[in-house]
Amino acid sequence: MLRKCLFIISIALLFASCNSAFRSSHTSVQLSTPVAEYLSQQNLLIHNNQPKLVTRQPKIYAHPYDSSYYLQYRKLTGTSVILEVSDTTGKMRNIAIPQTKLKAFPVALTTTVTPVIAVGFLANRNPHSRYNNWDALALVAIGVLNFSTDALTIPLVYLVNKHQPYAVPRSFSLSDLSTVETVDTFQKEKLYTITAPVNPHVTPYLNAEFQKTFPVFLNASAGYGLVERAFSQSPEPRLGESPWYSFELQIQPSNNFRWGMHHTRNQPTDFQCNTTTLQMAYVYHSLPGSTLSVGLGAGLGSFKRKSAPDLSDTSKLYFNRKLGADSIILIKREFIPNLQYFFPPIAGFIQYENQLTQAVSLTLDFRITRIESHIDYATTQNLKTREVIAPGITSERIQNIGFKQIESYKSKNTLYQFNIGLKIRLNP
Amino acid sequence: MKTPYKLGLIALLLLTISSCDWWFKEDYRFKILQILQNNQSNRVYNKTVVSYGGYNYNSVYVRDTQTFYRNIQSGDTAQILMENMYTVNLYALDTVQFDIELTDSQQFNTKFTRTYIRNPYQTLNDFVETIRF
Repeated sequence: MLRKCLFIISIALLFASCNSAFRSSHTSVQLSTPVAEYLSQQNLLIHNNQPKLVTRQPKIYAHPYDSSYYLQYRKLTGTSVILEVSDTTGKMRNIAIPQTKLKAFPVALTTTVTPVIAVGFLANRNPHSRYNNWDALALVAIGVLNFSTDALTIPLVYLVNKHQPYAVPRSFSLSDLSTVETVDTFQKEKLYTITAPVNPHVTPYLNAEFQKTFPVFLNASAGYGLVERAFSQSPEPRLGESPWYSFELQIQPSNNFRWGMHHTRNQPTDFQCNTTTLQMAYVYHSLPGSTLSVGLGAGLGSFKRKSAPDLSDTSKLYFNRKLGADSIILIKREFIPNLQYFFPPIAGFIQYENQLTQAVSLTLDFRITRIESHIDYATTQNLKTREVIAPGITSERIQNIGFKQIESYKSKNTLYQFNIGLKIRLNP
Repeated sequence: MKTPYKLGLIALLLLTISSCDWWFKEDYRFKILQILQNNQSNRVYNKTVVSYGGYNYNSVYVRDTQTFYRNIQSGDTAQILMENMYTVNLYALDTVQFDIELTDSQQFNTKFTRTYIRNPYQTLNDFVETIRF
């Protein structure tokens, strides 16, 4: 048992650990040519300026492609580190280098494997089955196992790679020679008063302290949805067009990249469908005052049919034998309402966004989603026989044959949605 | 393993087990609905004797009869519904026989028998028979 647990933990460490394990172990500061030439002749040391001092030995290298110089060092924890420059004459200089704490989707078993297994379980769940509770128990057990593994591996990975999330922002560079030139050690104030660097190009994604910020948006939209069914021999009625409503929480970590959690549901008619997808989008800024984003999403959806007509049919065959003229089989399919099915939807979308104010935008989007529809019938068969008992006296007898059976049909559909909505920025 | 974890797991297991169906309770049913429809121009007198047999709870084969007397107006119908003889009174009841006698005040007079046989390989046996005369 211990060996199995160790195996799972090793796999988690290797393949589904948190991001720190996959990040580069080095970071670098861009230097201008005079600064690079000057620093190459000095003694350099980088430290974290903390009571528990951790130092790094930097080195200067020329980039082979863009002919610029970089000061590279092994990563060190902290939102700013100190570059200590000293020369042979005993002069020194301390320069603050800002560092950004990197953030990303936490790659772990709980955030990758567990949702995939959960979607798989739910998509294969049969609402007629009497064993759904055991499936749910198995799912809970897998969730607990994955969470426990993460609870062990994530702190371990962070402990081993605790410096990895910190990196020097690309927009920061040392270009002015006067900022790095050494000073006499008796100039205590100049030596030990280190000005924190300020980001001259503040963007919505990097603040004045060179720390990452994420604009968060809430997009609410409404529109109309048309459903096209793929070729199917299922007797189920087609899904009609209906109003659809959507909500989306978007996070934009960079200028061209956006991800979000999107939820859409239709106004219940004879069916009720909703999908929740995790989606990523590429944002184009080439249009003046507006943006265009194109993206894909995948997640979990549910479908419930609320009403459908019952069906009836007749047959002259009974266990592959042709019945006589006085007999016929009546087949009755009784619709079973409100059975909930789950499925993994895939969505693609194009969204046009026109900024109305600094925090509010108007959105128009066209979305295509692959959804599933289901229908269930309780089918009964009756044998109907006619008989002449005596002249003028007739009998018509109906008796049920066999057992009541459940017939389930599934169809694949494409949902086309046209939405108009408002997008509000939630954080300042 | 620590006691709170053990108790938590036991509670989860008990919760799951208690919510499960452990067996499937089948409903056995043998139900007969007979409808007599009078298409004669006169009122018809009907006597129907329903007879059936099976084993009681002392494992003794017994036979039971019920007799119905009705006057069916012209264009009207009469019904006999037999549905609880299987589950309440007898088991291993496979055959039910309806001996029907129809007479009116004039020349119409007939007797015939209708038999309903339960299929033991299916749990539900529902018969609906409409006799027109």
